[in-house]
Amino acid sequence: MNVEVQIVDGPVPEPRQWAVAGAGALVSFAGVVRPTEEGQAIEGLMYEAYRPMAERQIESIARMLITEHGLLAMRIAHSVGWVRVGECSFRLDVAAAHRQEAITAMGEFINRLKQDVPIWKQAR
Amino acid sequence: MASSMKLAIKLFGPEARAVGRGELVVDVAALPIDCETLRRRVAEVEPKLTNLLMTARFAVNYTFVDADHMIGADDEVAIINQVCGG
Repeated sequence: MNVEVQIVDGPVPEPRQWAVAGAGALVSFAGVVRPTEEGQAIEGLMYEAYRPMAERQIESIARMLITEHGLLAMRIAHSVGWVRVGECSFRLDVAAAHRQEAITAMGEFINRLKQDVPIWKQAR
Repeated sequence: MASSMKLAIKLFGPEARAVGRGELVVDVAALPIDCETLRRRVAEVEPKLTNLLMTARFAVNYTFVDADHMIGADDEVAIINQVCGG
């Protein structure tokens, strides 16, 4: 199973090219910092993580979804520290033989991330 | 004379902001201790955390655990609440 997890300081950089043998679908999601939080204009978000647990949880969720949906690979990057409005703080790439399982797994991964991965953000 | 043991607990996010630090050291009567007993002990030591603790989960050695999980002296313990990554 191919899972790649990165916790990066600051914004998530542009991804390098990704080739996965057997893939017919490479689906990507980029989360960027919104200009408002609860109706208030913000400059950015400060992310905090319990880093060793966050890495383990992300990998564990990815492996579970790969098994459940028969995916080929997942690649996940999340920021810690300061990320300005408009910059990327989260990126998820899913590779599968067909699009539907990749799209389904993407939504499930993001829901699990927001429930079970120890990362917090605070608007400034 | 009764002796006690010290247990360090990592805090993050709202809990860390509530008490102004990222780690809490609490005296406990004995180890191992179950998570529910530790939750009550933390609320005694830091009353500011009482409400947050109602929805918080414990993680032991980087894994979420149930209320009856027993924590030993060598375990890494954290209180995790209201995560919001992405």
